[in-house]
Amino acid sequence: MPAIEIENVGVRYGAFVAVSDVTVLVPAGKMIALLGPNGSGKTTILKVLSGLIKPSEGSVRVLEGKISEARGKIAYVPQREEVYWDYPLTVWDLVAMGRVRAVGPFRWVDRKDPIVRMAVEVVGMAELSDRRISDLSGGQQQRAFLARAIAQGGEIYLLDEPIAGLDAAAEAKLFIVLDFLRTSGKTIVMSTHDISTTLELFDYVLLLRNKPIAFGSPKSVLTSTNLAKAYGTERVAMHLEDVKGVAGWA
Amino acid sequence: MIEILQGPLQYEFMRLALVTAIVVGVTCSVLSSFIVLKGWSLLGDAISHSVLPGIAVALTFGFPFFWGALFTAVASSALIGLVESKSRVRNDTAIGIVFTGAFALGLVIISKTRPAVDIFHVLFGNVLGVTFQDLLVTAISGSVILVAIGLGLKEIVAYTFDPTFSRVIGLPIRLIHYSLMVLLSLAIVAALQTAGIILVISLLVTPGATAQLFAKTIERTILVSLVVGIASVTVGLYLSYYLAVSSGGAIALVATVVFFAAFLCKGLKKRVGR
Ligand SMILES: Nc1ncnc2c1ncn2[C@@H]1O[C@H](COP(=O)(O)OP(=O)(O)OP(=O)(O)O)[C@@H](O)[C@H]1O
Ligand SMILES: [Mg+2]
Repeated sequence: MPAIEIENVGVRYGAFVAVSDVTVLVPAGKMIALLGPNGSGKTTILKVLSGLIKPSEGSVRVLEGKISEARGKIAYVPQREEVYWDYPLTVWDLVAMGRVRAVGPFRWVDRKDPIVRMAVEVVGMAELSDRRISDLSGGQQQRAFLARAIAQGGEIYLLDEPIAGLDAAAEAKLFIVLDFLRTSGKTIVMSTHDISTTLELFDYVLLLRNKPIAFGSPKSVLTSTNLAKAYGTERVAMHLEDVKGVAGWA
Repeated sequence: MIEILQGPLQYEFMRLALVTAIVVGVTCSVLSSFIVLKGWSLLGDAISHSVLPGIAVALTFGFPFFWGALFTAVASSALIGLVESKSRVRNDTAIGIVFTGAFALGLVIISKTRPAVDIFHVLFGNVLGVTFQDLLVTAISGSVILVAIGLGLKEIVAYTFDPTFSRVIGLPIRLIHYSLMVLLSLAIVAALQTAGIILVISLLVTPGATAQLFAKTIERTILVSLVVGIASVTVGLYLSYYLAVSSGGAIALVATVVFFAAFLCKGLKKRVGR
C-alpha cells in the first residue's frame, strides 16, 4: 500500500519556485531521508505533506486519500527551535498534547491515559515524565516530540531535521525509536543535513536542489556525481568516500 | 489588624471597589498566564491604549462606554493582525502603528468634545467610583472569560505552545486565536475602571510573569498567577485608601513589587541551592 504519493508537485512562494517536478511514491513502513543544501526545499516538502501549505502544482495523496482526510494520522515534528521550551509543561503534558484531538473538545486528557504512558515508554522517557520540558537535553526534547507524535496515533511521521545538534548517542537513541516505528508499519519522512552513515539506515533518499536530483536507495543516490549536482562542490563528494568506507559500500 | 482591614469596608463604595477589583484580579490573572507565554504583552498594551477613541465617542454621545471600548479593542486587534499578515511589516511595528494612531484619535476627539469626565480616571483608573451596575458588567465579562478558558484549556495550551502542531492535527486554530484576542479585549475593557487604559496591562502581564518564575505546569502557573493577582489588587486598594493615592497606580505598583520580590527570591534560592 502506498503511504505517500507525490505527483509532479511544485511549490511557488510568489514568483519564486521553491521546489518543482517532485514525483515520489513511498510504500508504508519505509523510512525516507530528504537531503539537500540549505534552501533546497526539504522543509517545503514536509509542509506540503503535513497540509501546512498547498502545492501550486501537482497532487499529493496520503494513506490513499486527501491530506485533509488523514489529519489525525499525520504527525508533524517541527524543528526544535520552533517552540518555546520555557513553557510550563512536563514531559507528560507535552506527550498528552498528542491526544487532544482524539479526546475531543470540553474534556481533559486523563492523568493516567494508557496511550500517553505507552508513548512515553516507547521513547524511553518513563523516568522523565514528570520533568519540566525546559530541563531536557536536546536529544530528550526531540524524543519527547516523537512521543507526542506516537500518542497522536500517527501513521506518517514528518520530522524536520530531528538530529540537528544531537550527539552520536542521542542520535542513536532517536533512530532506535524510528526503527521501532518503521517495524510497526509507520512511514517516516525526515529531512537531514547529515551526509554520513545515518543515511544507510534509510530505505530511500530523496536528493534535492529545488527539484529532485535523485531518488532511490541510499547507495544508488549517494554517488559523487549526484552530490556534486546537488551541492555544486567537489568537497561534499570527497567526503562521500569516507561515508562509503564506514558504511562498507566501498 | 482586623480594624485596618474592616475600616474601609464600612463604606459602600469601598465594598464595591474591593469586589470589583478582586473580580478583575481573578480574570486578568488567569488570562495573564497565556498572554505572557504567547508573548502578547505588547499586543495587550496596544489594545488597551486603542480603546480611547471608543470611550471618547461613547462619552460624547452618552452610551455605555463598555460597548465603545469593546468595539475599538476588537477592531484594533483585528487591524493589527491585518497589517501584520498583509504586509511585510513586523508584528511589533504593526502594533506601534495601530495603537499610537488609535490613541491619538481618542485624544483628538476628547480635546474637541471635552466630555464631562475626568480624563485622569480614564487613563489611570478609578475603582473607587464604580457603581453596582459596573460591577455587574465586570462580573459577567469575567465569567465569560473564565468559562471560555476552562472549556478550551487543553486546546489553548496546545495552540499557545505549538501552533504548527495544532494546525496539523486539525484544531481550529483561527477560532482559538481570534477567541483569545476577543477574550483579551474583553478582559481589558472589564479592567478599565480598576486600572485605567495605561495601567491595565500591569494586571495582564505581571501576575503571569511572576508565576512563570516558579511554576512547573500550566495549572500551577494559573494558580500562582491568581494568588499574585488577587493579592496585588487587594493590597493595592487598601494602600490607595489609607494613603489617598491613585487606586490604579497603587495596584500596578504592588504587582510590580511582588514580581521583583519573587525575582529576588528565586535568585537567592538558586544561590543557596548551589
Ligand atoms: N514563506 C516563504 N516565502 C518565500 N520563500 C520561501 C518561504 N519559505 C521558504 N522559502 C524559500 O523556498 C526555498 C526552500 O526553502 P526550504 O525551507 O524548504 O528549504 P530547506 O531545504 O528546508 O532549507 P534548510 O536546510 O535551510 O532548512 C528557499 O529558497 C527559501 O528561501
Ligand atoms: Mg528546513
